[in-house]
Amino acid sequence: MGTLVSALNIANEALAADQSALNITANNVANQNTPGYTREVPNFTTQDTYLISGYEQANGVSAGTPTSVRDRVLEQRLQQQTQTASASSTLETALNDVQSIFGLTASSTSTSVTQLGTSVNDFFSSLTALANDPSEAATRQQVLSSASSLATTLNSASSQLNQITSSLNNEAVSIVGQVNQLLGTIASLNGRIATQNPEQDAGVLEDQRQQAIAQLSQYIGLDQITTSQNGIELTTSNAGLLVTANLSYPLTASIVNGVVQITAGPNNVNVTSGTAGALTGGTLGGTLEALDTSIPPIKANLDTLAYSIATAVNTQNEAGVDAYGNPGAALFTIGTSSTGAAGTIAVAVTDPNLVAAAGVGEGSSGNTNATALAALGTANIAGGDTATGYLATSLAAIGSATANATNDSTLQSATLTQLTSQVNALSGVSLDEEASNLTEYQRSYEAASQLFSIIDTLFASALNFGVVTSVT
Amino acid sequence: MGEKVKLSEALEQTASALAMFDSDALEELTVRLNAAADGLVEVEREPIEAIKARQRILAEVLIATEQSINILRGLRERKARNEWAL
Repeated sequence: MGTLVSALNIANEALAADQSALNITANNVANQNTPGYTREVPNFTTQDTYLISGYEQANGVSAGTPTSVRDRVLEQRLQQQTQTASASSTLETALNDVQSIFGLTASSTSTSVTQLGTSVNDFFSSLTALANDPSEAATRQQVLSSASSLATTLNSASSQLNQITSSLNNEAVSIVGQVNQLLGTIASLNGRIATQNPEQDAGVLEDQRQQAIAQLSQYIGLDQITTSQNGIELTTSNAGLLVTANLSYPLTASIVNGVVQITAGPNNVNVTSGTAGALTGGTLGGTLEALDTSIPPIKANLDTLAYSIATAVNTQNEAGVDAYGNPGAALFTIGTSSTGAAGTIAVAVTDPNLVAAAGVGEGSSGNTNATALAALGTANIAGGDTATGYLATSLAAIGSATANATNDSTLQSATLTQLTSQVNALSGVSLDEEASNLTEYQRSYEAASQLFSIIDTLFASALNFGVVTSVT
Repeated sequence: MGEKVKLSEALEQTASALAMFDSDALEELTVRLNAAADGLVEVEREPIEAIKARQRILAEVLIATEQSINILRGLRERKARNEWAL
C-alpha cells in the first residue's frame, strides 16, 4: 500500500499547490486597488524523493510560501523621495502664503504694485508735498494720513506673518501626533512580524508596515535599518531613534513663547530646526524649515524697514519746528530696537500742526525741515539702502525664495511620480498580468485533460491480466 | 522500440505538472504519450491498482483546477466590470 499512500500524498500536495497558486492570483486580483498591496507570486518547490524497495519515488510538489514582489532599495528610495517632495511642497505652500501677504504673485514681484510699496511711496510723497506747501492744512493732514496708512500696512503684514507662524506651529504639533500614531503602528507590526514571519517576507504584514512607513515618510524625514527577525529600525534622518523592535519612541512637541520645540528618542533630544540633530524632510521638516529658516528673515526685514523709517522720521521731525513754533516731537511710536517694530509701529500724533515742517530759526511757516523729511525718501536709511530700495530687495528675496520652492517642489513631485510608477510596475497588481496567469492555468488544465484522455485509451494495453504482479 | 512509458508515472507527472501549471512539461508528456498511442513507444505493463490510483488523483486535481479557474475567471470578470467594492 506504500505506493497508494504516497500517491495520495502526492495528490494532496498537488491539489494544495494548485489551489495555492489560484488563491494567490485571486488575492492579487481582489487587492488590485488596495493601497500598498504588493503582488504575490507562488513558489513551487519539488519535494524530496524517497526510496521504496530500492526505487526512487517522487514526492510531488508544494506551493511553499508566496513571495511578495518587492524591491526594498526601490521602496526606500520612494520613501526618501516622498520625504523630500513633502518638505518641498510644504515649504512652497508656506512661502506662497507669505508672498500673498505682500501682494506678490509668481508673475509680479514689483515693489510699486504692492500695498506696502505704495504706502512707503505715498508717505514720502506727502512729505514732498508738505515741503512745497508747508502752510496748507490739507498737506499736513495728508502727512499724518499716509503715515497712519504706512503704519497700518506694516502692522497688518506683521500680524499676517505671525498668523502664518502660529498656524505652522499648530500644524507641526498636529503632524507630531500623526507621526506618533504611525510609530506605534510600525512598532506593533515589527512585533507581530518577529513572532509570525521572523525569517521571510511577511506578505500582508510587511505591506502594512511598508504602507505605514510610506505614510510616515510624508510627515518626517527618516532612515530605516533592517534588523534581526525581519525587523525594521527607524531613526530620524539625523539618527534620532524612533522605532526599534516593538518599541516606539514618540516625538514630543510644545510651543514655548510662540516657538515650536520638538524632541525625539529615549533621551528627548531637541530635534527642532537649527539644532545639531534637526528634523528634515516630510511635511514636518518643511514646516520647521519655513518656521525657522524662511520666515524669520522676512519678519526681520519687515521690522527693520518699520524701525528705520520711524527712527529716521522721528529724528528729523524732532530737529524741526512745528506749526505752533515749538520744537518737533516724534511722529511715530516705536520701540527701542527693531525687534517686533513692524507689529507695534503707530502714528504718535493726531494734530497735523505737530508735523515740524520748519527749520529752527525760520519761523513756523518755513519748509526747511519738511524738505529734509522728504529727502529721507531717497536717503539710505534702511540697511544701507533707501526705504523703497530695501523693501524692493526684501520682496525680491521673498519672490525668489518662493519661485525656487515652487521649482523645487515641481521637480521633487515629478521625481516622486516616476519612482511611484516604477514601484507600482514592480509590485502593483496588473489585471492584465493576472489575466495572463489565468490563460496559463487554462492552458495547463486543457493539456492535462488531454493527457488524461490519452492515458485512458492506453489503459487496456498497460494492464497485466493474469500475471502476478506486485505493487512497488 | 526500446523506449517504454509507464502510465502510472505519466499520470503522476501530469498531476505534478498541472499543480505547477507547467504547460511545457505537459506538452512534452503529450508528445510522448501520443507516440505511445501511435505504437511508437511501448506501454509498460503494470498493476491496475497503480494506474487507477493515479488516475483518480489526476481526476481530482483536474476537477479542482477546473472549479478554481471558473471561480477565478468570474472574480476577474466582476472585478474588471467594477461590480463590487472590495
